[in-house]
Amino acid sequence: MSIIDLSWRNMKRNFRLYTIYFISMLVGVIIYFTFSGLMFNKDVVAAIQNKENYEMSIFIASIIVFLFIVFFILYANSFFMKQRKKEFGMYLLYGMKERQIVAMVFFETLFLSVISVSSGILIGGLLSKFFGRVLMNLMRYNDDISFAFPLEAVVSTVLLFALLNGIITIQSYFSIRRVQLVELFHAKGKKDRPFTFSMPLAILSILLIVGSYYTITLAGHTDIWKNYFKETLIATTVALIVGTYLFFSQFSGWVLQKMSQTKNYFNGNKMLWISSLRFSIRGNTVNFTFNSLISAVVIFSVGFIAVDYAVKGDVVRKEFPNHIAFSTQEDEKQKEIEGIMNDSHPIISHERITGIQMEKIQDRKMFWSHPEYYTEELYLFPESQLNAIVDLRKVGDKVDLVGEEAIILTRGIDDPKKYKSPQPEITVLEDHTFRIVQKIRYPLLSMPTSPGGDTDLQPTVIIVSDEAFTYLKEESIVSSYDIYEIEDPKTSNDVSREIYDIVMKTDGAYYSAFVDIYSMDMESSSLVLFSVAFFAVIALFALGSVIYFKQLREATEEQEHYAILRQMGVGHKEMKKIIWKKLLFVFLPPLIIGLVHSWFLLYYTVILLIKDLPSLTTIIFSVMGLYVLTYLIFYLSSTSIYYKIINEKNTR
Amino acid sequence: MASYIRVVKVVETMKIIIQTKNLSKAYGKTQVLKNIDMTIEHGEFTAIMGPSGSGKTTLMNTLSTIDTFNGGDVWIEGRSLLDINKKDLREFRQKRMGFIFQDYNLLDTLTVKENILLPLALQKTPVIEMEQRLARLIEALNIEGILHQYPNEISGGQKQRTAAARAIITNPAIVFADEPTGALDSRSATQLLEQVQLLNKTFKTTVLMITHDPYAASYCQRVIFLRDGKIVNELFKGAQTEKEFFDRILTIQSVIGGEGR
Repeated sequence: MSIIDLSWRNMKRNFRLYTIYFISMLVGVIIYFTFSGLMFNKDVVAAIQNKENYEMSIFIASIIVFLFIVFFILYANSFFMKQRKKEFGMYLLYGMKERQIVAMVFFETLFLSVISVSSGILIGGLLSKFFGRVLMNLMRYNDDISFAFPLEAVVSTVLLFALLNGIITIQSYFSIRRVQLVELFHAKGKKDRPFTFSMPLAILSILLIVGSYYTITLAGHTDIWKNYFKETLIATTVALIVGTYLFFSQFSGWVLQKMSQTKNYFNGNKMLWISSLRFSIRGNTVNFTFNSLISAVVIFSVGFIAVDYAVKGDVVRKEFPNHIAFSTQEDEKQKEIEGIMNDSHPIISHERITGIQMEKIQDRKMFWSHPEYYTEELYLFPESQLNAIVDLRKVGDKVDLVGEEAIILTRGIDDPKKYKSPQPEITVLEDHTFRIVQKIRYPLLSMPTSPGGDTDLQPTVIIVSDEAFTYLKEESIVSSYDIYEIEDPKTSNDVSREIYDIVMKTDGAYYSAFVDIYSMDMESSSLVLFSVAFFAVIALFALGSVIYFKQLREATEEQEHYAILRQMGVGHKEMKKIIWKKLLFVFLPPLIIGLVHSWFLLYYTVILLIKDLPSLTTIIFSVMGLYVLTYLIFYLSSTSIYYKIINEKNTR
Repeated sequence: MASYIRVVKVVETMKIIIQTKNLSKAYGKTQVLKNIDMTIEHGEFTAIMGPSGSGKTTLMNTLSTIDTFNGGDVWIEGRSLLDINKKDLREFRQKRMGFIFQDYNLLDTLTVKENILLPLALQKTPVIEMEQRLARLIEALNIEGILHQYPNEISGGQKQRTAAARAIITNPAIVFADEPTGALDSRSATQLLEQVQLLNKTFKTTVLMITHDPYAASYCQRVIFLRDGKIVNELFKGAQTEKEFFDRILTIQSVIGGEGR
């Protein structure tokens, strides 16, 4: 019987164990191939405006995905190796060499890899249409994505999994070398008695967790975070980590201990799962602590990125309200430009505004908190034109100014402000003084843009009364700008590019288009959100799988217990109930702690700050929902496999 | 408490616990049990002896409903096993039978007390009744000092006494003991046998013990010899002492065992 033959027989015989391992690998291949498939998908690449940026981010993302997969599969493999310790020991006992066993494991992994890589690529290719669609939706493009199996993606998947195969073999080699023949003849590690848990420490864990939650809730309305940011942050983090650790090492054990002292303990199957849990606390503490903390951080970052993504469109819309705006052209060119727009994105409305362009003024800091973001030269526009643009955009409030009154227009970073008397005065054109009545956040002319996504300084604009403007106009240089609202501005990239080329033939011309910034920001934040969501799914999956595999290992150790129960006449239903309850107490606490932690982190840092955004709760809840779903799947799957394991005939 | 008294009455009125007629069992073509006819009465302490392969374990598994049979019939407390469905069988086993195994089969995550009470807990017996039943066994089995210890902290003899307590706490109609002294040193074995004997006398517990050890068998009132799936002999202790009975068992065993192997 050759080694390959032996590996093949092993796989057929140990089907269930291999299935778990196979599925882990398959999930890895699917995720990785989906990701690298997107990088090389022709349809997706064609739709993307900033291709270099896209390829770079997807490349980095796929490396991170791969690292997650390595971690996850190595964990699955170590579980797998430990399960087979006895089998390896038998081979060694019968005189097989370590190297031969490693070769056998290598062939098995190779079989599994070949099957999982080929089926993973098939499934991943089919899924790429769906994920491409999701990505396009996030970027708000309407391009259709077809099924694709890009050669580059296939090759990189195959190569990386060949590499992974090598890593697995090395890991297997080390775990086989660690097999001690003595273990074969000795009973498994003996359990003496459960550890006793201390009530003070149990209470301390709750105090620490509640305390750090409380500090987080203070973020909005006390100075402690402002004045002692670093100290508070460190104290809160440490309290949360220590509290979580004590929660799993002491509090949960203490609760179980209390439960075992009640009269009710002897009622039904309670004492079976409670006692078994009491014995497993020690081994699970670090695992659970790590799991719930990392999960909380993962959810928090997805929430954070999702919020960033969700507000991005609104921010761009506020800062770049003009769909297309440029310095007025000669009539002929103006007609040509309007023709370009009407071809694909018909003009909804159009307004020409005329303003006075002036030299720089002294002491801008008085009026602008961040003058470095504005042009030094100043533009004066009459109130009637601002009101006309308010009409055009259907956004903003009209103004009414008389005599020397003036309004300063600012952008996002400057807060709006109403001035009471004495109102500050500003002198322009040498001897004309205006009183500033208020600052409003309203970009009449937005920052100049170019189709590549570059921006320039925001034009500094002051609005004056119509009569003052008419009077000043006589002796000044005026310049006019055409502002257009067009249909479906989000997809007007090509239009913008053409108009930009025409307008920029004149030196110093002004050009600004909403789509230039929108498409760039949307693409980059979509990519970030898409990748982070992907990482989150893999990370949560990998973390959950650690608990999952641990439970399966425990199931093997508890086979004997259930065999005894069966002899005592305990039925299948009752055993299932015991397993359901026991595993519920295993999966639920880390899940709840992870959820509550991330909720507190998200609510007081992100949600409270941007609470008027309707889509926000949806995003956060879907991330949390996914987290719960992952655990639910692991819970259901592990109960069923647990049950199968304990029902296996013990071959010892 | 009321239900407990009722159970005792039922047991006393039903004299025959187990009865088999033409009981046969085959694994494939190998006939393991051949037309076994036997009767176990209430309060009997019986041993089944025989060389390995004689079918004694199969017999016990069949009688204890863990295994099925191909021919004949078995009545337990007057009910034919052929008439009971699988679910009822399990319940029957849980309520009316107790088991003692060679390797104790105690759950190492439960204390001695919890192990003993487990069958009652699973049947949702009221806690007060559990404590009362336990109290009666504590003295007879001498387990007071170890009640709150875990199985890995006590000796083999103590473990087996715990297992014995667990087996009879449900007031079963019959206790099956499979080589209970197999893993014990001779002192612990003697102690255990004396205690089982005591339980049998005080509580009228019916015990069916499988053993290959003539010494263990000498504590029984009756020994059934099995060879090649057939009952080949039967001894009653009557008024004999353990020593006299032991010698007789040895004699019979040498006759049967000698040609059986």
